[in-house]
Amino acid sequence: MLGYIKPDKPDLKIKEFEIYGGYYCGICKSIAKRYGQFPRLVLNYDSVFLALLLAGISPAPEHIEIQRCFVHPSKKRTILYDSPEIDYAADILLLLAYYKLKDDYQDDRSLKAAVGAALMHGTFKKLTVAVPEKCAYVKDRLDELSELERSNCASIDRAAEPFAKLMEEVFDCPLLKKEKNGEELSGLFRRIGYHLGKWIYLIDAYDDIEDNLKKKSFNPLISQFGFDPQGETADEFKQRIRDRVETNLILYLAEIAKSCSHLEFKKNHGLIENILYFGLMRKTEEIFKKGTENHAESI
Amino acid sequence: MQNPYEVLGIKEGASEAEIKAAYREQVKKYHPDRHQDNPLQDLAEEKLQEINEAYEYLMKNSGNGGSQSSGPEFAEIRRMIDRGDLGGAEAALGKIKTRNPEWFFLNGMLALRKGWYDEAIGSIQTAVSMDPSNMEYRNAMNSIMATGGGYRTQAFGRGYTSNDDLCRMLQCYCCADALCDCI
Repeated sequence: MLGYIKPDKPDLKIKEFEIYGGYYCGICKSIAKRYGQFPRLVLNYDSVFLALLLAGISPAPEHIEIQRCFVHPSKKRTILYDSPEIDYAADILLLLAYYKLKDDYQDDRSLKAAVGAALMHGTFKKLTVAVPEKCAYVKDRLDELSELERSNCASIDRAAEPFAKLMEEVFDCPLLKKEKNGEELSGLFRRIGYHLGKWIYLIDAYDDIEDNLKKKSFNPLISQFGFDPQGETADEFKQRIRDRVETNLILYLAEIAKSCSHLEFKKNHGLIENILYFGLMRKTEEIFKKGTENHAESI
Repeated sequence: MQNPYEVLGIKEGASEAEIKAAYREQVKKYHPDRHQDNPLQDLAEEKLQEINEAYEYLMKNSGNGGSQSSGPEFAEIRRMIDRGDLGGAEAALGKIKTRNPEWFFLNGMLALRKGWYDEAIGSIQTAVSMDPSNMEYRNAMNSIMATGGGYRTQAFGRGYTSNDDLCRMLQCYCCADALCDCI
């Protein structure tokens, strides 16, 4: 996950903003407590959404504290403690981050990634105990993904499938099974994960077009729609496929929103709605504005 | 699209009478009159829409696998897709050599159930252009497009704005916030 899933900050209530930060810090603290200081560096916002959803349907009260943290010494922060949902989201974040570093090393031989992956190896060992089935599943899907990339897959649906399946599986948290309607919840979370995976994969592919054209590396959109280096510029290519990409992205969001509407939230409802209808929609629109003339860098 | 049988809460392959009875019961449960000025109003409306879609779908495709099927193998594939046997439907479609409009349509419906929307749109679009007079293909296409439109409407209904100037202002705001945490 790459930092695409965020709330639309101006539309958040101050209270919601504090809670959102509390989950973020809660994930960071959960990592520090169980895995030590180093893995905290891979923290990102995407994992917060999973924690918000999982905790949102749980009736257990939140344990909130306002305290200082040495990462941000200047100001006291809201932090959520003792939440199994946050622990799970943290595990998934680390698992995906570990594979991301390994992948970066394999692709670019980046030294930074190599050191990162080596330093996280101990954490990964612990994860294979904490969430064993998820580890095995994620690895298999990522292998499939690199296989598809090597064969220059010319279908965005086919290319996105391994990552979507991966997200489907990690959203199906074992904690859900403990609820009395566990089966139904697990089904809904799987649908959310699957479509969120497709959304992330496709938005990332569109975002990477210029870069991939320059480096001549794999991009499912370039493979499917065929970039013509003589006849068009990268911008014209993006313009040509824009509507089709947008239609797909919005359909994924529609499916995510629909599945979420079947969940009964006991908390975090406003925050989740903000992410679903404002944050994800904003990101989708931003991706198409980027690079076009009327969206020249304003600051 | 969700499994229409699940939406109505009945078993796969239920009879027409059972489908009708389940439909009537569900409509009563989610009728807007029962949820007026009640926090569940939106949810009930959405649920009702789903129920209507599921009912319409099952009614159109009930009996011997739908009146539109141009051959027994297509009728069987329709039943597989309805049942949720997506693997079976995919294998059966792969075996058929003649790619007529119905083949593209069913291939698209299968893709839709899998969540492969790009393939679904492409395939159903092919079916529509090969047989422009077929209303079933057109309706399927319109219903996919309406799903995306529905999400946008909901976002705008909740107060989403895509004003450019506002965006720029907010970028400044976020930057200022990130720099000094002053806001």
